[in-house]
Amino acid sequence: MAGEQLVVPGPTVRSSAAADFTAWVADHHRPLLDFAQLVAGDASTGEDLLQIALARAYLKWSKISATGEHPLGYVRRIIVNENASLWRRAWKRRERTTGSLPDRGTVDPTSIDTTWQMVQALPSRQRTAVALRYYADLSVNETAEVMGCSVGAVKTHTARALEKLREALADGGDS
Amino acid sequence: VTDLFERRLAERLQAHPLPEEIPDLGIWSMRLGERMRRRRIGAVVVVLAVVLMIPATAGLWRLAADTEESPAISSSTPPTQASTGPTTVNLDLENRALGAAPEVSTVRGKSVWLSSGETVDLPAGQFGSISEYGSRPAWLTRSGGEVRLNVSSERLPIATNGSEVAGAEPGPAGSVMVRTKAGPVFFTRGGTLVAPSHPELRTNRIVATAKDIWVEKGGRVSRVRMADIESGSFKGRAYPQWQKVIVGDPRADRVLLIDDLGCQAVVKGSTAEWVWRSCDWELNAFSSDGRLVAGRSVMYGTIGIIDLSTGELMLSIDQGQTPVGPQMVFDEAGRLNFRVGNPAVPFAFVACDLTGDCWLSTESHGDPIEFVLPNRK
Repeated sequence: MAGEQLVVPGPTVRSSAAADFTAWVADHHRPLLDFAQLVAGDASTGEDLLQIALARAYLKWSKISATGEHPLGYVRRIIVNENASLWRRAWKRRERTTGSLPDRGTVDPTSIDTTWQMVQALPSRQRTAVALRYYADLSVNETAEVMGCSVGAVKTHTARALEKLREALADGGDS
Repeated sequence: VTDLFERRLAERLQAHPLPEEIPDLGIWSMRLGERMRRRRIGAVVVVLAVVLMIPATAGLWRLAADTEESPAISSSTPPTQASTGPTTVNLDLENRALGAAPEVSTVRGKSVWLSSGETVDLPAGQFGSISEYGSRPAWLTRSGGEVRLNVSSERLPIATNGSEVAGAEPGPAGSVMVRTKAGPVFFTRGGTLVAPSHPELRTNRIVATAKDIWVEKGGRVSRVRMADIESGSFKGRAYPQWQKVIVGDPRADRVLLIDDLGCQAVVKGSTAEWVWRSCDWELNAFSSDGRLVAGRSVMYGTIGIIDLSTGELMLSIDQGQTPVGPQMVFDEAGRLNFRVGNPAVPFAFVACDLTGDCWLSTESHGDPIEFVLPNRK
C-alpha cells in the first residue's frame, strides 16, 4: 500500500446550511469538547464522541434549524447517548499499549484539575449526571430528559456521585 | 444546586480550562456525516438485495429437490475434513498453579521487576507508564512543575504540570516517547532530546512503530519517519483509507488502525503494508516478531491469539468469571502475559503459551500491577 505525500486540499463549504453548520461548530466546539471529555471520562474518547455527535447533528442540521431546536442541547444529547452506547460495546474497553499507570503524585483536593479527574473517574451514568447538572447547569428534569431516564434515577445517580466526590475531596474543606 | 459543596463543584467544573481549538472540525464532521449517510444507504441496498434473493433461492432449491440428484447439502454427507480448530482453555484460577516468573518486566507496588530478576525502586513523584530503554526502565517524575525522564539529565521541554502526560512510552528506533497535546518529545537511543514543532505533530494521538510514528490529527492518519524527525525535517505521508491510530508496537513494527467501516487493520509500521483486517476482533498486543496478535472477540469476549500469516485463531481463552486486565504483552518466547484480579480480588499475572498451558506467573499482590512497555533493544 503506497501512501501519498501529505498534501491535504483545503476544505470547502458548498451550501449555506453547511456554512451555517461549520460556523456554529467553530463557535461552540471547545465547550462541547470539554463537556464530551468530562462525560467520556478521558480526552480521546471525548474527541471521538464529539466528532460522532457533530456528524450526526450535521445530518439533521436542516431540521434542527427549521424547528428552532437549540443545537447545543441537541449535540449534548447525542454525546450522552453515544457515550451510553459506547459503554455497551466491548471495543470501548480496548486499551493502547501506551496506557498509563495510576498517578502516584500528590493530590490537591481544591484544584480544578483534581475535581475534574475525580468526576471523570466516576461510573458512566453518575459522571453523565454530574456533567449535565453541574457543568452544563441543567435542572434535574432537563437532565432526566437528556439521559432518557426518570427524575428519580437522576437524583439517585447524582446523590451517589456526590457522596463519592465528598469522600474523595474531603480534604478540600468542603462540607 | 443546593449546598456549598455542590456550588463549589459546579464552579470548579465550569472553571475548567477549555481544550485547544480544533481547526476545521466542522468540515471534518460534515465529511464523516456524509460517509455515515452513504453507509446507511449501502446497508439498506444490501438488505433489499437479500430480501429479493430469498424467493429466487427458494425456487432453485425446490427445483433441485425435484430432480433425482441429491440436494447440494445433505445431512448424511460426512464432513470432507475434520477441522481441528483452535486450542481452547478455560481460565479458572482455582486450578492454576504458580509457575515460571514472567519473562517481561512488570511494575508491582512501587517497584519495577525486571525480566532479568532484578528489582528497581521507583522514586517519589514518579507517574505514568514505564517503558524499556535498552535494558533499563525509563519513567517520568514530576516535581516543582518540572517533568523529568530518569534516563536523561535534562528537563523535558513540556509546558504542563504533567497531568496531561500519559508517561514514558516506547518510541521508534529504541527511543522513549512522551506524548503531550503539544506533540511528542523523544529521548533518542543516542541520548538526545528531540521535540519536533511541526503543526501536523501537535496532537497526542500518536503511536510508534520500529522506525516511524503514526499520527492521527483532524481525522487524518499520516506516517512520519523518525530519521526525518531527528534531522529536523518533516516529510509526512498521508493514508486517507485509515481513520484512527489505535496501537503501535516498535518491537513488532506493527500498527493497528481503524478503517472507515470501523474495522481494525494490522499494518506494517515501516512500509504501511497491509497485513490483516478484522471486524470481529479488538486487537491490542503483538508478538515481538509481529507474527502473532492477541485481542478479544467482539462477539464472545474471549481472548484470542491469531497467527497473522494465516489468519488462523491459534488459542482461545475463555476467562469465565476471572477479571482480566485490558493490557496484554507477549514475551520473546511468544507467550501471552496478562493481569488477573481487580481492586476487590488480589492481582496476579498469568502467562499462557500457544499450547494452552496457562499458569500464574506471580504471587498475588494487593496493589495494581502493570507491565513495563516493551521496546526495541
